[in-house]
Amino acid sequence: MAETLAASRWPRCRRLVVPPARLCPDHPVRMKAAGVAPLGEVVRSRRCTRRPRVSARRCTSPLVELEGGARLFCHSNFFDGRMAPTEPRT
Amino acid sequence: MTRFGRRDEKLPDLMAEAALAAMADAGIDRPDAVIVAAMNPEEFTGEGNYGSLIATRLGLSHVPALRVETATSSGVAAVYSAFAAIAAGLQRSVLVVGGEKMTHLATPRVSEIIGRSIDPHEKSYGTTMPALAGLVTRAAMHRRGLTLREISQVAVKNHAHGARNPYAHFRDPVTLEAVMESRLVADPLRLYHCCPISDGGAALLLTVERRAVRIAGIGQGGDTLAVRYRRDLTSFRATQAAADAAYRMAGFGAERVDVAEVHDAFTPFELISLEDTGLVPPGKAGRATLDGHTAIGGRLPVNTSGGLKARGHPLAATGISQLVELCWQLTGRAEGRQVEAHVGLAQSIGGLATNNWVTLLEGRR
Repeated sequence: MAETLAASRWPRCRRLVVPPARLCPDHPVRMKAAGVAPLGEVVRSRRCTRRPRVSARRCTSPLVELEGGARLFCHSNFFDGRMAPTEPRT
Repeated sequence: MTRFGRRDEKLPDLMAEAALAAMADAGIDRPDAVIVAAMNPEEFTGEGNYGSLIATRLGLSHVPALRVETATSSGVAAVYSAFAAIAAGLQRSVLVVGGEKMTHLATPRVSEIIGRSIDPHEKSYGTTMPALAGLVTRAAMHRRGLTLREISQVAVKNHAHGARNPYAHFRDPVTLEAVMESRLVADPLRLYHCCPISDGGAALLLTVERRAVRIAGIGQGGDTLAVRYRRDLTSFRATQAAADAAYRMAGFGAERVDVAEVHDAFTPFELISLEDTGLVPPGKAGRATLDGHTAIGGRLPVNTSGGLKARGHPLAATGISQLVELCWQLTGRAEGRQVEAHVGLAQSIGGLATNNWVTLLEGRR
């Protein structure tokens, strides 16, 4: 598991995004590089009714909120409310 | 507009059918401009340069033509462009025509093309439009107490309305049990909670002249392409902003609306949209639907056309077809499904609520 996930933050609005983005989604201002621990709380999840292309098995696809408020989608074959997100596979 | 559904005609022919009907209805055979809405004809049909293609197909190759695109709300974006051109004094009449042709492709291919409007990073995790809609629905069930029965009743109501509309894709009523027992598409959404893949075209003729129906207000709202950037999954900021702008332009609020066409691509979206536009108080849309208040004959008839769910959803035709239905309702021409109405509201969603529109139409007394 990665020790930190690469992220971006704009200091003024404190917006933190994962994966890193050049500009803040709410302001046309360049964001600064940041890192965030790869642990978070599941905000909402759904069961995949079909096997996604990037996963070998049917899975749960949760939206996870990391420390600092950044959210991202993950894959997991099971979870118990806490997730260890991986870098996206494209 | 054309009948929506599985159509054998090519897309330019469907658009031409709708456009010629609109021009004949308006008594204008040479508009000052043509604005075409098509979400992705390049991939759906292999044809491009749609402004010129449609103008030429209509015998209007000498008329300035352009194409507008905002994903699934492209039709209203084209209406807005025409409205702005007329309001600015650039044109006196503008033909707006939109359409899509999809049923000749396999469903996974259609889903893939529609999925182009999803954030690329989220798409890399296998996210599809129904998957995101399922996530929003789960959130609304958990946070707002939305129930499976409520979102299923939307389908029952809209199929009943579609049965009265000769232009609808589906003209058969469905039972609550059939909806709730249909196959799972994207947890918790089932087949009958999702709109069909449809072909069709729709058109409007906007003119500076005083006519039976006027655009009283039109507004656009935006939100992040990435769903993960949003704090609230259970309402759409883009609809709320669009509604605010439309009401501000009209100079009146939701209390004046008699009939509405809203974007029920997934049935829970109808309930969310009714609350986002202020037509129903927060948390009350599900109950209002179960109690029949949004059915024809109810206090606020919603989706008298059958909505995207039953009338069908040929993407760029959809937003225009909502306004066509309201025009018919406001002028007493909605045969078989007529309601008493003076003001109508249409709400259209682009992508997963990234580019939404609210339009208010008012009949002249």
